[in-house]
Amino acid sequence: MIEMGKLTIQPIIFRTRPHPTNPGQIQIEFALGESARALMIRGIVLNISIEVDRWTAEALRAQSLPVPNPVAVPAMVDTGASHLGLDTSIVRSLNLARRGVTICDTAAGRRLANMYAVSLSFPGTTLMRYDMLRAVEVNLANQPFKCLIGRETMSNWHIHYNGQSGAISISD
Amino acid sequence: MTFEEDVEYFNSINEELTKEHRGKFVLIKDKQNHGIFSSFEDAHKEALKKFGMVDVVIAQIGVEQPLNYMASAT
Repeated sequence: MIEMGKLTIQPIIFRTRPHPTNPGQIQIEFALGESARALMIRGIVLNISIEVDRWTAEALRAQSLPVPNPVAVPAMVDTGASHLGLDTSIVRSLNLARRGVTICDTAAGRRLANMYAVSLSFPGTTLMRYDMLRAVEVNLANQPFKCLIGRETMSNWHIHYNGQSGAISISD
Repeated sequence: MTFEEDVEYFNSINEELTKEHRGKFVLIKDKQNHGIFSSFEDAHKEALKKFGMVDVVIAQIGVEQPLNYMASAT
């Protein structure tokens, strides 16, 4: 397998406290164990960019219609999701046309969710861009991330999750 | 015709289509079958060509739906 790209995340967390011998000054120290704790609490969260899929963009340009601007959002890697999960706000922002439905089990129960086609990229990394992926509309309004990266994308990845150090690496 | 009616239409013909096209993708618009495709992407491209940027149903024929357990979504 040819390695196309790699992303490594090793959060380094510092903590500050009053300097023990110089009153009025602060001391900054490496917070040992905080990276692992942060990963445990937040999960794997990446910065991604979502756009209309390549074929839709070409069709819009051919008709001299504007192509919606890409949307940059934080996304959580979620092994429970089969495809990308997109918050409704992204679906509206990109003015996506529905491409079917799928059954989703969410915190609010089982429901039919609309499906769309989008493209996905990982700005600032060498991870592969996807010109067309299926995406499921979900409500992530109360979450700090607005997208779920599902197994369709992960099927191209090798992920190393080091829960002890808090380090993540993804290669494709 | 509505998108929801097209979803219902697919559910009504899925079993029949499964006999010959299991695993392939059907493109449905206005309760009509507009073709069988090897991939979702091919069906999507055909939908754009035929109908432009409107809602259509592209469904995989005769396969179990993949698990979608999105605990963080509502």
